[in-house]
Amino acid sequence: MRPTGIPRIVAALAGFLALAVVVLPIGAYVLFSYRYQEGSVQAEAEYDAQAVNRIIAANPEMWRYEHVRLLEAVAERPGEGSDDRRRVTNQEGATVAEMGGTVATPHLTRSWPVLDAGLTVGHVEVTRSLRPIVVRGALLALVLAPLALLAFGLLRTLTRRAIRHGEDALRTSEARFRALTEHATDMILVFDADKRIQYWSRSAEETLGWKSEEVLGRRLADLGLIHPDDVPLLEEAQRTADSGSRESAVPVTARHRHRNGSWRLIEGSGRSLLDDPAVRGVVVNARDVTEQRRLEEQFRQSQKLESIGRLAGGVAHDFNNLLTVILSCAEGIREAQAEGRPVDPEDADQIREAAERARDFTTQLLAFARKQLISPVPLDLNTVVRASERLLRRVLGEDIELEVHAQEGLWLALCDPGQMEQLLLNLAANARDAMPRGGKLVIETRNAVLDPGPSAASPSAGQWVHLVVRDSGAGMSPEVQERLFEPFFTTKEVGKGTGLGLATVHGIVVQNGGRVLVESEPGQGTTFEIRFPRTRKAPEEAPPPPVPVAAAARGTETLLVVEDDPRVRAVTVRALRGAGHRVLVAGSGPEALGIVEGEPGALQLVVTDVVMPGMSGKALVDALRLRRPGLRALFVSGYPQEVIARSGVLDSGIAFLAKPFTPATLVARVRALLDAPDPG
Amino acid sequence: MLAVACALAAPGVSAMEPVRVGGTGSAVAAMARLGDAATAQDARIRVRVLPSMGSTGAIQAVTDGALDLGMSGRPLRDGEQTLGLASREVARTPFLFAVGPRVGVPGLTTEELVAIYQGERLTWPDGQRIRPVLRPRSDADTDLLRSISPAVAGAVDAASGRPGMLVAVTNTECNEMLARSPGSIGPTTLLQIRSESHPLRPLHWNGVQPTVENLASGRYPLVKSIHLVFRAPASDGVRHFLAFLGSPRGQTLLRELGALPLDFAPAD
Repeated sequence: MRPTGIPRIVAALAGFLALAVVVLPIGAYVLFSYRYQEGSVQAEAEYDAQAVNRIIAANPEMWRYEHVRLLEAVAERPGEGSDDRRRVTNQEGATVAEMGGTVATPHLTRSWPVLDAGLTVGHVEVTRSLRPIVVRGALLALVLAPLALLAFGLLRTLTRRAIRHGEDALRTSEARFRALTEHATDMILVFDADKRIQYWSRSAEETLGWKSEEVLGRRLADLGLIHPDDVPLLEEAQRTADSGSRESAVPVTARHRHRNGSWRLIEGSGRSLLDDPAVRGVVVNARDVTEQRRLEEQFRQSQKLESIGRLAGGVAHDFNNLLTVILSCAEGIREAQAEGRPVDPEDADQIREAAERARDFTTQLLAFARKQLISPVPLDLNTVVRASERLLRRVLGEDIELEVHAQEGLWLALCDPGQMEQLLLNLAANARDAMPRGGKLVIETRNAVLDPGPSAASPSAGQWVHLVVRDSGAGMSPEVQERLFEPFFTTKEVGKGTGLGLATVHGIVVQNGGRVLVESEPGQGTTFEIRFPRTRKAPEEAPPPPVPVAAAARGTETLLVVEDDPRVRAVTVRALRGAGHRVLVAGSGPEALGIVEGEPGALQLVVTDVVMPGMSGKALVDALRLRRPGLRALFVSGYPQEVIARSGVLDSGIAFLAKPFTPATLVARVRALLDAPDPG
Repeated sequence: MLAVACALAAPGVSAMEPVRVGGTGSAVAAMARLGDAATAQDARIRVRVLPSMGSTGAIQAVTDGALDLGMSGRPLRDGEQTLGLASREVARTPFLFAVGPRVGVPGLTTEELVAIYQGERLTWPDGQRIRPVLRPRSDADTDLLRSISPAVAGAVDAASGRPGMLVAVTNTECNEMLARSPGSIGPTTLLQIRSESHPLRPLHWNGVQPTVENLASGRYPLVKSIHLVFRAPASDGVRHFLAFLGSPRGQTLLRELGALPLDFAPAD
């Protein structure tokens, strides 16, 4: 758009300047000349008045008749050469003496009083023509007029040329940027303060199918282009962009409706340039990421499947080994019974050992998955290190030297003591395997205060307890370090490692609110620096020793067992009945409720699985307690569910027994619960 | 003389209005003394002499009735004679150049005067700076000076054109300047010098001393006339005063004051 008003303004300005070229010098000349003449005439009048004063002083009574002398007194002084009119008047204003003829107009008159003993008795009046100034001003105008015309012409021409040049440059620039935006892969949108679309680039048309003329001046929301679920997202982004500076782009991803009705996932960022006079809008750069996100999701899914496959493979491999033992030994027992031979006790021991290994294995799996039930307490890690020292030496063997540097006055950390021991053992085992020809393992504890660093919100800031485990082993490449904590990832020979050791370490540390840092280089050994946040809680008293499984755990109370797995239910019922208890049995929550409804007698305890179809164990217990207030409950489960534990820490007042358990353990735990004081 | 005597002797003349006299400064002081003498002789005559003013102004004042008797250094001009005025030349006095008391030169020649006015001669023989006192261009004394010779006229014009020159507006002021300014020289009359008290020394002109006798004998060439102008017919006071001036007493006094008294017709 050509600014048609500008040439007119330029012409007006040039005219004004040209006029100024004429008027200013002439005005200045006339003004200064007038001022000069005014001063000169005033001085003449004053000078003449002094001469007249002398005549008056010589003859105060008759001075009015000194016409000749007065004229002489006020006559021009040598070299003056002006044709002033000089007039001496008396007090009444009548002329006493006058010289000079008619003064050409315009003229300037100034007078000065003449005095007799301090009293004004008349005036000297000097009149001078200003015509010479006018004439010279006119001559000056004649000289300046061509200059003014020249200036006008030059100014107008040059300025117009400059404007034309500027307009050309502007047009080129505009065309360049229009081409850039039109051919940009990204969609470029501009919204006004009212969220109405001001610009809709060609790529936006191509991506969403809406033509520019269909959307300009309208809002995205009014057009129904935004997925209803994503409207709040965009509104929040809009608010952020409005309140933010122009330097801050606000990213947002939302679903937009294509003209063909499909939804496209559009990722963009807006920048408020409302205060930029060149834009006056919110500029949004956006792109269609629908396909990209689909591919990413596919990739994530395949990664997840690969991970699950690896995990399942690892679990299957280990469990199959154990199951092979169990199946073989069980078969041996059955064959012995069928043949009437005495059962080889070793078979039973093998089965038990395999089951225990399977239990340990699932414990590790739970630790890796951060699903292990833990009991964090304010703990002095030095105590754990010292208590584990003998065990660690055994794990490390004779070729590896163990060095412990325990800082005195170590702060307390909130950790599960059992898990800490497991952590140390796993790290020691890992170090041992990294030092097949011997070496040194250093375990160090220390307090650390970490600076918040440039970002005040740094999560590392604060007081930490560090547990450092450093070996002099083979070290690791960066590639290995990247996958270090993946489950079933191992660099060890087949059969030497499960691939769960460091994954378990990572799970334990994270579950206890800590961090793991690894420093390693091939051939330079490996350092694990484990950080736990300092706690200011007081250390707890040592927990009571576990209740021994005693034969005296028997009882006669009425118990309710609820378990959806018939095999587990059967062994549970058998164990409790074997201990003398009267046992009611249900396969689900609703069934249990029905049994209790029909049971007139006392019910002392319910033993229930946590996860069951239809009704969870927790919901069942809550429902039962409405009918039987004070009913005691023992939850059993393969791993603690969120219904009874948060972040692996059991909810208060919940009694829990982890599967797998032995009948003796179950009976003893039931007995302990029954014997515990009434919680009230 | 007889007419004057008759006028003075006329009986029954009562006290008259004071005669207001004004004009050229050459005669102001002398006229005051003559007035006093006239009053002393005839108490009816009272003369009031006003300060020095120009001859032209005095004639104008007489025309307007502001003066009864105007003292002029020149006779009436043609235009002035039509205004009902009458004039009597009552005396002549040597027109001379005077110096202050500390200037040691005895006299002046025409060439020396020209050299001084031209600015060619700047110091007296004793090294003292020469300070000419000029009169306004329109003054009667300037006309007198210019009439000495064309060379003098040119020199006077040159001096008048030079900036910073001493200019005395009136005769009285001229004598005051001469007395006050060291090394000064300027035009005046013997009548004025003698009737005033300034310590001025008249200079010889081309070797001739400016005295009444030399003036009367014609040896001294520079002369200034004293004309008395009055409205015709003259008032009693004017007539009586003129009569006194024409009397022997008046004539003697004029001579003593440095003027050569002239016979003149009594006022009508």
